[in-house]
Amino acid sequence: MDTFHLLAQGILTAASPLNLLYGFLGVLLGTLVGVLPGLGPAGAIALLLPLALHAPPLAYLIMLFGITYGAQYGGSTTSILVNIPGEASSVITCIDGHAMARQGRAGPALGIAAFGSFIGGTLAIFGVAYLAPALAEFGLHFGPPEYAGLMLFGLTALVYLAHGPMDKALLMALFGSLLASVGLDPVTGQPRFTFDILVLRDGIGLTPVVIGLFGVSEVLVNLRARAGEVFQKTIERLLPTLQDWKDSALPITRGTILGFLLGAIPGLNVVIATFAAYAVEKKISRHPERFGRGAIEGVAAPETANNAASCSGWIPLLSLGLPTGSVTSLIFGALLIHGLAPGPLFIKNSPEIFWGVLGSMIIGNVLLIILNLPLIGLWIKVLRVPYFFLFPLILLFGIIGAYTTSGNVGDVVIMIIFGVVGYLMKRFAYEPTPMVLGLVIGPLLETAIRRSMIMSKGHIGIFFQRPIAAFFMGAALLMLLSPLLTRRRLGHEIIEKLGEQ
Amino acid sequence: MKREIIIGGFWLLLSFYLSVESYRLGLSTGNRPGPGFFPFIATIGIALIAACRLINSIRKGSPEENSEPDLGEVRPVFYVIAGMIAYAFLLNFLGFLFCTFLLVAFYLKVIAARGWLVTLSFAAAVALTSHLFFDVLLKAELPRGLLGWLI
Repeated sequence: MDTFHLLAQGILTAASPLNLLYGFLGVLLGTLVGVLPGLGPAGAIALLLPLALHAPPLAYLIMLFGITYGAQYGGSTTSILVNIPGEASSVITCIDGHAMARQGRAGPALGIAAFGSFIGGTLAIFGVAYLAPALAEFGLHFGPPEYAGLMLFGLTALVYLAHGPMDKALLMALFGSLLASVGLDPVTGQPRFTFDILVLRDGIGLTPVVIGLFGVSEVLVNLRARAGEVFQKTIERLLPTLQDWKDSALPITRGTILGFLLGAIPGLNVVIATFAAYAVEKKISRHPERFGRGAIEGVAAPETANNAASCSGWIPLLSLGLPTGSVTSLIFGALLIHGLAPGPLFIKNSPEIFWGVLGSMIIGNVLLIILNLPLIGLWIKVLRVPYFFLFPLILLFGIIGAYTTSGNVGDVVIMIIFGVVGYLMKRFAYEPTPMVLGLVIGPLLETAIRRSMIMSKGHIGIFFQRPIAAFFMGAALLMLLSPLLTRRRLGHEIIEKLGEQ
Repeated sequence: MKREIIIGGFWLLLSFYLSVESYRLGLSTGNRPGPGFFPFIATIGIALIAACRLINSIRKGSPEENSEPDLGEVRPVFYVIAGMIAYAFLLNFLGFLFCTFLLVAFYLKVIAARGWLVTLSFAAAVALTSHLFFDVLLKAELPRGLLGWLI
């Protein structure tokens, strides 16, 4: 069966009543967390991880994926109406989106953001459908040394492209890997770092850690947040005019391509794609002076790019089993909870899951257009809910989530500890994502390294003798060591510059 | 600079302790890496980075950060954490419904400074709704505690 038919089959699977319901809940929740500052898609997925034990695998994954791309739609609403990005990936939309709202053109800004997201997201899904299986075929040649190299490469890429200092990000990745070694040794069964505490014998669970890091710590940071001041309270006309479409057509095309390409690179997150798309539009525009004063291209390009990037970001995970950020790490964890091993065999062994999820994303993008345009009034009301009503609910869901994972109060205590750790990390500018990635891939990386060294009778040369493993190891070492020699990270100035814009 | 020294010192001490523990676990058995091999490498990496950061901050003597904690910000954080710790320790004894009511009421009264009517009615609504949703509908088996006979 060719890709097109497999995708059509996936759409049919995703359109079954149960999957449709979960998909709808996912995009609804995604839009909600996108609209609300203070809880991102990672936090929402973390809170919903315990549900994995009860929900059917495909429906559950459809919901989690729905949250991730739904949040990209919701994030633009707050950027345009309140000038506060609901999501980091909508930061750049504030500039021209809010300027348009101030000129009484919030409707077309919201409209083009939604249509651009729809076009970028849908086209990117086709890209994933064609690229991921091909990459997975290539991944079938991987043995333990190649797999160890690939995971080290993914971890190093994230560290290399981190926003803050590279040494801090590397420290967090190593700390996450260290946390992953708590519990019984996967090879010998010997307890490690358990300190005779019963709850630690099964290891530090991903669920309480991520609820603490992304849910509780977000609340602690945002405790003084106030409800947003909505600039334009009633939106009369949402459909962009013909001129708006003419101005946005090429930025949407370029945003799709750029977002798709940048999103697929491990370590480059959605935010970078939006900044890059905005910078390109401003650079090639005949009237760059319009940017910052309500240019619709400044909304169309980044909003398209963030959805395209959020879709293509799944390629390394779904084809090679390589999580590339916090959200993909959480989905990786959710797949493991369901006994679905992410890796090159994933598409072959679980085709109904892979194509079902892709099919649901096409349906989800249609649902999001309906949710985000006619229901815009509802989201404006949500924006005005005071934070003091929201934060007890977020904490309560976190506590319930951590408790129901094992029925043990110990996991609630772990969640609280990592909530405090996450808060301190934010205060002292340590990024949580490398730590989560280290925690998630730590056990797999350790097993791959140990199995490789058993194969080679203890010689580390095995990582440099096989071409694919040597390529990944070489790239990882280059990223780790080159800043020591050149005192700068290649391409990092561009990221910093885009960030400053 | 003082803050960087404290943080660097913390990481150094932690990595030193855990590297000793990793060594005790066994770095290798014959040609096979032992249980302590992977954590040992991670701790050595942490120690190296922490040492470099520490040396750099001492050598460069970066300008003193405004390390005075803002009490207005820290106090609600402290209350939120204290509320959750109390919740964790009382959950099995008092039960989910009553603990949830107390936690939400505490947050609304102490952190958000709402009036009693708003506080009590919102806390009761959240406790009841979450009990009905998680306990009754989803059968999440949350502790019933002292009020177990009532529900």
